Amino acid sequence: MSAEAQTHSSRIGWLVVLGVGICLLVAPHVLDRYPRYILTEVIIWGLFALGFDIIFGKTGLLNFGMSSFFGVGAYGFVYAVKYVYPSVWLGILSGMMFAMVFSIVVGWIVTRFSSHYFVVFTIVISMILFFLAMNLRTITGADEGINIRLPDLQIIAWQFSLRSPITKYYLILGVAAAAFLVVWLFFDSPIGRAVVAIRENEARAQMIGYNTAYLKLVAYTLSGTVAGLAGAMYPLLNSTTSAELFFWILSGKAVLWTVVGGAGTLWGPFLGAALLVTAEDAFSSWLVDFYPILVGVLLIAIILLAPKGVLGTLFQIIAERRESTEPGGRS
Amino acid sequence: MAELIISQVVNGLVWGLILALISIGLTLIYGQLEIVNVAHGALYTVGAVVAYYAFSTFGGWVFALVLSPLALALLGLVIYLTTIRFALGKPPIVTVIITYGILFILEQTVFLTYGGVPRSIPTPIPYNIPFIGGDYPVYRIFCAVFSGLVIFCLMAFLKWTRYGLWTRATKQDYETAMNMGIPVRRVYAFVFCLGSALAGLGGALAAPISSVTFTMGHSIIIDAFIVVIMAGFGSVIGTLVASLVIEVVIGVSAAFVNPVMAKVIGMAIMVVVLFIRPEGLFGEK
Amino acid sequence: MVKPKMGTTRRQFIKTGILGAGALSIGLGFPAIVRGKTAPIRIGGLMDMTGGLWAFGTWGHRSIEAAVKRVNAAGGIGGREVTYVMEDSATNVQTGLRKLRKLIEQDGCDFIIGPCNSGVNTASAPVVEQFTTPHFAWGTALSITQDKGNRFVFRGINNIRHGMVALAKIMGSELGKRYYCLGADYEWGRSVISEFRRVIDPVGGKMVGEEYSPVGTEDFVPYLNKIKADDVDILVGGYFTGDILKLARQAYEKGLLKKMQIIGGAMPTGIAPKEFGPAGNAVWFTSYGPQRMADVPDALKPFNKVYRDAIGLDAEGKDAKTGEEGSPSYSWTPWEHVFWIKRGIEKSGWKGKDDVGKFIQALEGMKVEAGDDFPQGPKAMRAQDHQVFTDQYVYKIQDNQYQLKGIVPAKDMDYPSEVDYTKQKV
Repeated sequence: MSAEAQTHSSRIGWLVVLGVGICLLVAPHVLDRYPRYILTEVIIWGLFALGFDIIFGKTGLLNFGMSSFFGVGAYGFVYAVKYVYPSVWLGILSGMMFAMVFSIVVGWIVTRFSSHYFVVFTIVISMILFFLAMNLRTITGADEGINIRLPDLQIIAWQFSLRSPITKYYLILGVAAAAFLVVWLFFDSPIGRAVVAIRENEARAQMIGYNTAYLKLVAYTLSGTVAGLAGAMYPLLNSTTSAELFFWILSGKAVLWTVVGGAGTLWGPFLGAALLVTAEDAFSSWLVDFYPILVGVLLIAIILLAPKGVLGTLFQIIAERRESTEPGGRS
Repeated sequence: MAELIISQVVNGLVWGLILALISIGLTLIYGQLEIVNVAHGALYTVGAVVAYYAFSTFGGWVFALVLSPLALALLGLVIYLTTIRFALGKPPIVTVIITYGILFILEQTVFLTYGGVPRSIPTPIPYNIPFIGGDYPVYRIFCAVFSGLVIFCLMAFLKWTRYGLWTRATKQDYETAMNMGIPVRRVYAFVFCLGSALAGLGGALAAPISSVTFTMGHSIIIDAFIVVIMAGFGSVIGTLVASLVIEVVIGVSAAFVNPVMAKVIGMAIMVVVLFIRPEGLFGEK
Repeated sequence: MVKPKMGTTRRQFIKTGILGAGALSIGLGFPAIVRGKTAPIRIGGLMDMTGGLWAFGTWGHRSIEAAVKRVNAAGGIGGREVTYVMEDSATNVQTGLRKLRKLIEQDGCDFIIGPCNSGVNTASAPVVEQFTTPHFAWGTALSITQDKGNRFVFRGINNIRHGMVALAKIMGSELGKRYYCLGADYEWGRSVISEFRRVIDPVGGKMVGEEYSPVGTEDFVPYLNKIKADDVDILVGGYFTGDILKLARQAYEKGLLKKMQIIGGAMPTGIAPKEFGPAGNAVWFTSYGPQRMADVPDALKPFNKVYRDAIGLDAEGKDAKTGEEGSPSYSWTPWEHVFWIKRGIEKSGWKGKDDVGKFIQALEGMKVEAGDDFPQGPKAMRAQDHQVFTDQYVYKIQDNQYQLKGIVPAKDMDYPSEVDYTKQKV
């Protein structure tokens, strides 16, 4: 792609991003109450799926156990707010820290293994976590979980009550946007590019001199921390958490959302979550019986026909069109 | 205490053999096609549902021993032709997602047809043998023996028949096999059907022991994965050994610790084995 | 132009003018008057239509639908029509919470009737409090009307404590006191066991062992291996539906059920007794309502019949059209919840969301008589914990039938409330 074409498409890209950003900022004032709630949930789920995209889309490792990070993050938030000090920031930080430590420990074990073993390993670890969470009921409340009263949000001198769904929305949006920015910058940096090199060809990456084991661990930790951050947002939204968050079904959803939206694009997970969560909500009211079958068919269709997902395929089409209209390129 | 341990070992061996039957299907499919079949538990469920219909409509569970594997082989063929064969050669995520989609479709179809209510099949062999301060159902022993026989036949098949040879050759070296004129695509389809049939047979055997319900595949798939990964993807004999070992270990642990911990121990063993030997006990590097 | 003739025509003109002006003003003002009166009362039903508890949700939905139809046929509540919106909580807390919000925020529901799923009920409590919407819970976990509940939560069904007290009372005389506990490793399974122990330990119960199996266990034999039939009189099974079926059959195959009896924590909804086979004769259940018409006390029979006819349930507790097993032990609760709402509105004069405090206070301490509205029997709604107290039924499978073994009156199952919601401000 010529330099001119590249800046042109980046400009359009940034315009789109700006447009989306403005929509997101305005949305809570424009939407009805329930769609606003769904949007808030979608942001959380999108962030969760982003965690998956980091380890899968960018690093090339299929982690089927993302629910563990989500659950750990949620409980980290709840413990801090309920038992240590009722501060929202402490809760968020706590959720992130719990998830980060957990990711480093598990990541160190798990990233030694190559593709197929890795997948099953992550499933098994996630199952162990689920069983433990259900078993240690005095700590986790098992499936009945733990309910909390949300403290007010303190930003320097100002205090905002979190009873307002609009305040909650902006808080969650802000956190998600900040996390997204960090992830974006990471993959724009040398270390991020090295991680992507592993996805392309691990053997070659090693020959170049990258310490692939270390890089995989970094990616895994980033992935887990982001997913854990999303997990911390959940009790923030609903004032409750339970061991059910550790169940494997949630891990599958992260895969689903990312693959449909476009793995590796970082925006894809959000798009996938938006599409599928709203579809599930709309359908399940009147298509209850057939919805899972439709999801199954959709998954198969997408992975076979448009494996890059919605955004991935879109980017590919744009790139191909650019190339074919290049001066000196194929007509 | 010794009595309890012996009881746990015996029960562990029984389930180990039944689980081996199911897990071998999984490892064959992986070994041959490099597919992690997430829908394997659903295939097991369909096998059990067929067994239920064999009992309720065809008048005898025993027909399921033939009907279930046949039905699942057919189902496997349909799945292979409509989805799997387009995914060969593509990165692993593709088949994981495909089989994940198939899992949704199969389970919901079972729910919509067979229904959501658990039903039971009366034990086909209503006798017990007095065993260490209690009884042990003869039917379970039958299952163990039958599974063992099937596995033995399978290994013989792989070693001594033409298709078996082709299967092993294709796995070893795909290119050479093609050049030698082996119908590689047909071998792939065959293996997928065989793996599915084994899962179905496992479901038919287990159905009278537990009960037939649309979610029954959920926990068995995890157990099968643990076994297969510990054994090393692709090794039939390894899967048998791993299955026996894990089930016996979990059973014996349950004598000392609480059941949840016993299950966690079973999983932890897998982790430890893989640490020592990352390709699995019998896997190839 | 036609000049109006003097005399009668002018009078006519004035009359018409007055009539016209009157009609116009009524026409303009009438809708306002009518709107205020006929805005419907919205009830939201959060039911598990899919997932493990789908059998409960399906019958619960039918019950609410039929109850609402009945209420509207009799003129609504205070002249206002009742509308009913149902959402599927899919036996899943995350979905349940989302649909709860949909019912409250999108569908504008004034009252919520909740699912049988205890996890969804406990997670709903903070949300219904935030939105000041009364929630009628159907789950039987104790904590729903204890530490996990609040003043907006009501429960129109007995809970697991009542259930186990009743079981122990009816079984107690027949059986010994040595028991072994085996339950599913989640809150409900543990509650069954802890509540049973609470009843039996003070009267000489002796626990021989206690184990919890991971969710999804198929084979209970490794745990049953630890039980010596001679040492144990009662096996307390903290399982429901499919799992209690497996447990019973596997215990039977091990030869454990020659003298030992099994307690199931709840009636196995949707499962026909014959599925248990010969194992059935050793299994006891606690039930929140009568299974068959034959089990209904004579005084309540006409009311029970009205209920069964309304939802298409036959005298045996099966679907009148398809012959499938229903869940009569549970499904009467959402029906009655509709009528609790009606009583609360009528007593408090509730007109809209601003009156929710009056509505709540009206229900606290309310007693209801048996009737078409409350076919399961008379009840009292305790003020401190919003928990209903009513009769409990105990069943045993005998000859492939659910046989009633006894009915325990509410007063024999009393216990002090551990919370006081009346202290909470609304």
